[in-house]
Amino acid sequence: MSESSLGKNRSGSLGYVLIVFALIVLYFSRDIRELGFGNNSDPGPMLFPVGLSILIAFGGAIEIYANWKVKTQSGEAIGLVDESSALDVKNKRLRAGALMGLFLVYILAMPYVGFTLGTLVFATAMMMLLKIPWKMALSVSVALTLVVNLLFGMLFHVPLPSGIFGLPF
Amino acid sequence: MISDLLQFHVLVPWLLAMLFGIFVGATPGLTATMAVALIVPVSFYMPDPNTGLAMIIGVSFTAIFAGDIPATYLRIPGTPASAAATLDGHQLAKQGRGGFALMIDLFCSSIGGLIGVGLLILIAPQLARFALRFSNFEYFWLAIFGLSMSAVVSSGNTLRGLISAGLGILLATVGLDIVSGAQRFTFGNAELMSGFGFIPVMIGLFGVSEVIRSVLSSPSTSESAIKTTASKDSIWEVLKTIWSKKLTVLKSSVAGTVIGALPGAGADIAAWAAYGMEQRTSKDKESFGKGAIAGVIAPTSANNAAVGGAWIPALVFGIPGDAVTAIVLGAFMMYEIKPGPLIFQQNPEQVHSIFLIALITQFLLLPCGYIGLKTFGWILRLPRNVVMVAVLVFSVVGAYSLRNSLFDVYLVAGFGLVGFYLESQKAPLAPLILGLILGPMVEENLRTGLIKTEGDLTPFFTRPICAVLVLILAAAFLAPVVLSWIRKRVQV
Repeated sequence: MSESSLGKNRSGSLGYVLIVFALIVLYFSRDIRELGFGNNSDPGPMLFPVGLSILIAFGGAIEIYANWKVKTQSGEAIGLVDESSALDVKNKRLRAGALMGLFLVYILAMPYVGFTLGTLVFATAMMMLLKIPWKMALSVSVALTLVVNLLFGMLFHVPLPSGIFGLPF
Repeated sequence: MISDLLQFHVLVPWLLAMLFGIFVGATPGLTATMAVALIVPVSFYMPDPNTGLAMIIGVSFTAIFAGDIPATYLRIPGTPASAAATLDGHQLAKQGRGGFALMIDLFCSSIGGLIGVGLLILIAPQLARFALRFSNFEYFWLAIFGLSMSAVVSSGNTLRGLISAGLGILLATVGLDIVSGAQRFTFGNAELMSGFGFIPVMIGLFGVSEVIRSVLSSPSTSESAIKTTASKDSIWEVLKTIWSKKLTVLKSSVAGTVIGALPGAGADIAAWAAYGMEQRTSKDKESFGKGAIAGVIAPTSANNAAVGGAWIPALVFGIPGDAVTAIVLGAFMMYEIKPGPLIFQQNPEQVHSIFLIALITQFLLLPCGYIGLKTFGWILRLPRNVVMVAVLVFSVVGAYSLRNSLFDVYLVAGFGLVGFYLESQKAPLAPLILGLILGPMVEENLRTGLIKTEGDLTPFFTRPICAVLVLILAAAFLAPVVLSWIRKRVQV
């Protein structure tokens, strides 16, 4: 699937997502409490959250209507158009999903394994997932971890997480 | 005096500091503010005060330029002021003309900086007096003006641009309400009390989402990160191109200086405003966002010019134009330079030194920037997927380094997914970023203004500067409609 087809033929879900998001924000806006020492002329802290939620929901409704209008006028289903083989698309999506999954595991595990070990393992795994040969992946990961540790850990004195193993920096 | 500044013991630390500024500014997560903050203590060890001043001033200009390098090559702004440069600069990089775009960027940054400093020298007192007349009402409309540019930059899709801007303003409401102190959407989480940090959101939206998109579209693992072509675009071509757009450079630099002179409005707002203005007045609007040269020239001239503009209220009234200038002012006081109305009478030699240093810095920016471009360009010859992994790692550590908090890293991941989804739905990200920056300015000034007027909205429209801003806004939105109507009438 090419980038242009991803861009041109959107799924039309944006309008619905916006409305759901706006409703969620409106729901949680009820918890906003003023502290009681404000000025009567101040519209209050709820003005922007509530006002913007309503506007965004309205925008979502317009978006749904616009999609429906285009769909009925063109007579085509608005959907993702495959320009390359379905298998290639599926593989790329799986790879992207696995990449984000690995990324999430990396950042969630970092407080426990530490930055050094986490980055070494994660960067190597990610590059191998992206079909970089393992030797190159490992070499680049080691170099990357070293550079980042020297730069941020030693030069800028950023206290990078050391994890339960207490690895350097 | 120039000969004093060009001494070896001044020039070498000055150049090294500027290279440091290039490096920090080009690293997403490390801001220009951080670059200046880090160089200040080092500058105090210099035996000559001019050396210290030169280091500090040099870093502030180069860090702003350097943010355009990853913005162009990787679509990750190195500093907030470079977010506008991602729009057309990155498109040019995808076409194999990243080097050309950045050379234009470098020269325009230098020219913009020269114009900004030149204007600073010529009209500092007058501009500072004008800036002081801005109150809550004027700042409200200025922020609305900046946000309206978001509808402009998302050309052809005003609705989604406005929705995106609204989302940005909504995100900016998270945290403690600055007017009443109420907690909004914090869910009892201490990290959320200060709201969503701009840098992690920006890294996620532009950086991580770009990595996901790159994986989905990448045809080959061995393809290098950026296409490089044989160097057909010589410096002569670069200069010819800039000369052909000299009006754009001039307009954007002047606009950048004026906006930079407004306290609280920094290089990032200047860059967006200049981009929006240029697109709006261009005869070739459709090319913006697809690699338009003017789309590179406008924001890059403006953001460096704004650095000079920010010095206007800083030197004359001691009011810093932005965070970078605030740190520099603090450093000045350590050098016993007291900004204020009497500075030109009490410390004329120091003021002249500062002006000269700022001017010479714009010329030194060229070799330092060139070295930065070449170094970064070499790095990007590595396989694309290797660079993408490095981008993710730097995104993580860059976000973490802001507050030593993993929460910011979680924000990067979350907004990476949000950014990817929004762009897949053709919703532009630029207005969202603008909404996040300007949302607090809009809300605070609206509510504070209403408190001052006891709920009366009239001053928002009747104050002279407000009236002018409202008219400009109305013209910006109505003019294309009216012009289109007139054209149709003429054709009939």
